Amino acid sequence: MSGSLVLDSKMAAPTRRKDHHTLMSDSKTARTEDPSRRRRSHHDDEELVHFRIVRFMMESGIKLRMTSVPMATAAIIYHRFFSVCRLQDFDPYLIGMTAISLASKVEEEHLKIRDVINVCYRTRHKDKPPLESQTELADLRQAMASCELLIMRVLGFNVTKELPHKYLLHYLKSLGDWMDASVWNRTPIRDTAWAMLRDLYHGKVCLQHKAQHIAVAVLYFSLLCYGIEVPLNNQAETEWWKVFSDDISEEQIKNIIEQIMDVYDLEKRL
Amino acid sequence: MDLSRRFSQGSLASPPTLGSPPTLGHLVDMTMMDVSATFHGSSLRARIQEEFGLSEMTVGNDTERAMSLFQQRMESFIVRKADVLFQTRATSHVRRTHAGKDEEDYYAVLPPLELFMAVPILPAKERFYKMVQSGDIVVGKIVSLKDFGFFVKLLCLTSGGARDIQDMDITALCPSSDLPSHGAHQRPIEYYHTNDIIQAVVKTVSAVDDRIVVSLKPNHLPQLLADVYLGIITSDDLPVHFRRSQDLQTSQASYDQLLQRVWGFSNPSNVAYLGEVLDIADKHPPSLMRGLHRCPFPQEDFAESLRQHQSSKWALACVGTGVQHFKAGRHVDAMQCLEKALTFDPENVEALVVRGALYANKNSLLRAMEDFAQALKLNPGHNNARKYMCDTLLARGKQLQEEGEDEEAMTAYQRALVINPHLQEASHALEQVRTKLENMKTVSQVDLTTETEEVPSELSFAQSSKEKLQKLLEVEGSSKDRSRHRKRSATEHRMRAQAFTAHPPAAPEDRPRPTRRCKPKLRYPITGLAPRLLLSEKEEKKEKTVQLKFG
Repeated sequence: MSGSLVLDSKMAAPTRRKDHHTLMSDSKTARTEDPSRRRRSHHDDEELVHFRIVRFMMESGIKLRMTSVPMATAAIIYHRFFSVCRLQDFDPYLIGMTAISLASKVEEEHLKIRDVINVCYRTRHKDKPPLESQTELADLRQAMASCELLIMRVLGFNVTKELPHKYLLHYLKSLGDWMDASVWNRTPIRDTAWAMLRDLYHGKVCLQHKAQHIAVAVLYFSLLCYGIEVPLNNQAETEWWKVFSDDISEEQIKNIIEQIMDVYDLEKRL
Repeated sequence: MDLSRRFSQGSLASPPTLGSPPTLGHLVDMTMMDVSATFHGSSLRARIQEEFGLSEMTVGNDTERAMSLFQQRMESFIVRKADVLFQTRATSHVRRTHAGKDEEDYYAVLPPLELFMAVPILPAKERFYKMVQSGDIVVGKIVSLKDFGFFVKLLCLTSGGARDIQDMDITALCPSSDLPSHGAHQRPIEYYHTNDIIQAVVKTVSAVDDRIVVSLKPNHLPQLLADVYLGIITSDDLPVHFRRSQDLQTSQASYDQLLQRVWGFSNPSNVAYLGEVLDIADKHPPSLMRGLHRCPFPQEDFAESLRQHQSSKWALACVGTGVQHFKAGRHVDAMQCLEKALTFDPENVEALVVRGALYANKNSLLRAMEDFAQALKLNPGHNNARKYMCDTLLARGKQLQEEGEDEEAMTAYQRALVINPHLQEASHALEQVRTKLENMKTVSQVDLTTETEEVPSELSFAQSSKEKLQKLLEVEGSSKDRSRHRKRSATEHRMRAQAFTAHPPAAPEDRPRPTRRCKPKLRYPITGLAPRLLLSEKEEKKEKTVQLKFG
């Protein structure tokens, strides 16, 4: 669907007007000017930029008291947008902020636009005082409105995707009933699995695999970190992860785990 | 265990310095780390020791693992995130729910995992005997009745999770002593028959000889499940997961297929519900990332406080322009600005004080007092608010005195004195009123019928309020007066005189009545309350029209 939409930078003009540059990142302008930087791998740089923006989105999400599911939807909208469009053409922070507001509408956990703008502005410009000018607020509101339409058009008005969260919770419930109660309560497997699920949205892993596969991989990873084994797993006919998602292999699970670890490595390079 | 732990306060609380490995504080659970190290092997153990400078951890039976690339990466990850992964935290308990009918659609209740995994029966049975504890609620079918009780073949567990025990042939005993009586005529045991399905609570489990004793008496129920029904149940009351596992035998669906089919899976709030049941705090979402790990954001950056801050800034700006308008005499615009300020921030103290002052100037003393009272409630130490409140109370007291409500005037003066005990004017006025009241009491006791004497005071009251009204409506009133009593020119006077002589004045009845637009004359008798009420109502109405017109 999105291939049929032709986007040129003229269409991006509403989001690039001078007065909407309030969210523009300063380091980006510096980067394009420096010739030596261009020689470095484009791909890596872009990954880092996306990581930074999604980190910004996560921070804002926490301050807006968003739950995990709308946060994940926002990250997916962001990643899908930039898998189609080029990073240079748009202000990624604005896209990120709009993705948050869009996701809150999609997942029916509505946020007031004024709150979204206040928090995102504050998170982005930590050194400046919080937004006070009404004209600037109106400008940003306007920018967000046109940006929202832009994102919807790029994504072909298809902004929902099945998320792993539901699956992970059901898997945790089923697995928890089988595990030893003392081990299950004492070891923070559930919290860690949930944390990993939230964190992996910093990268593009979320777009590349089925929801059930991601959920199983995250649970496997969590159990592996704590060294906990599922009782009677080796004697069972079907292993527990095969039960949850029968079209996955252990190799695939390990691949996904490696990709998740790559996302954590990105933080180190920030 | 000889452990040396490096105590470092700063490492976990300070902003993430990525690149240098964090040092372990005293917040790490060593047993958890031990379990992990045992699982992964001695290389992980060595690395942890090396990284964190811990001496000799318990060297248990470490499984030796093939050192694949994946394993190496895994180990580096664990080591790097060790302080977050193994952080000591309170044990989080999964909520022990009773698998009742209510839970059925909150999320997808599925048959127990072991059914899908197809674990071998004997080890599973052993495990069951180890895991079952007193207080668990079981469902079983009566297989044989004896004098001392009956034997139940256990079908499933209904509390603390699903468990597939149907094929394990586990029988439990329910002694007669644990049966509730159902009537005076029969022994409790005669109430039950073979093949009845009953729900019972486990009383004791003896691990040695694998004996389970159940009871139907509610006093053996644990605290949390105290209202669960014990006794005979029908097949409709069987727990959902059991019924589904029965279906599974026939349909052979996979976990995923079953999940998609069950209605509870599409319930949009199942995420929230299961999150709560599994005790995963989404309010303070967990994270393994260094930057998000401990929610290091100050409270004033959150949405609500930013909004409040912004609203009060906007309100103050409006108050500023309002005050400027007020000083320049543009009361209309001032009031507009103030109203705007209060829509931004209804609890803004400055705005309330200025609006109160505006009201007081317009002689709407009651509204002024409301605003000042609210301002003082929000900020009792606001000097201007207190000063203005006192002034308004004094003015109100005087107004009440003029109206004759001396007692209320007294309360007004007393209130003023409460706010500012040093206000001399208030205390003088209070004294005046008090003495007057005492005098009046003595006077009224002497002379009761002085109706006519009331007349002049009422008339004078009418006069004074009329003057006040006129002062209020200087612009409007004067224009009206002008239209009614416009200055007649000389020629007009001559003409009127001629007309008068030509046509003598008509009888009073024929004289044209004044138009409605003029203020109607007092038609009510002087005595009684009516005129006073009428006029005060009119006063309020005039004020209201003033506000409506300009606000």
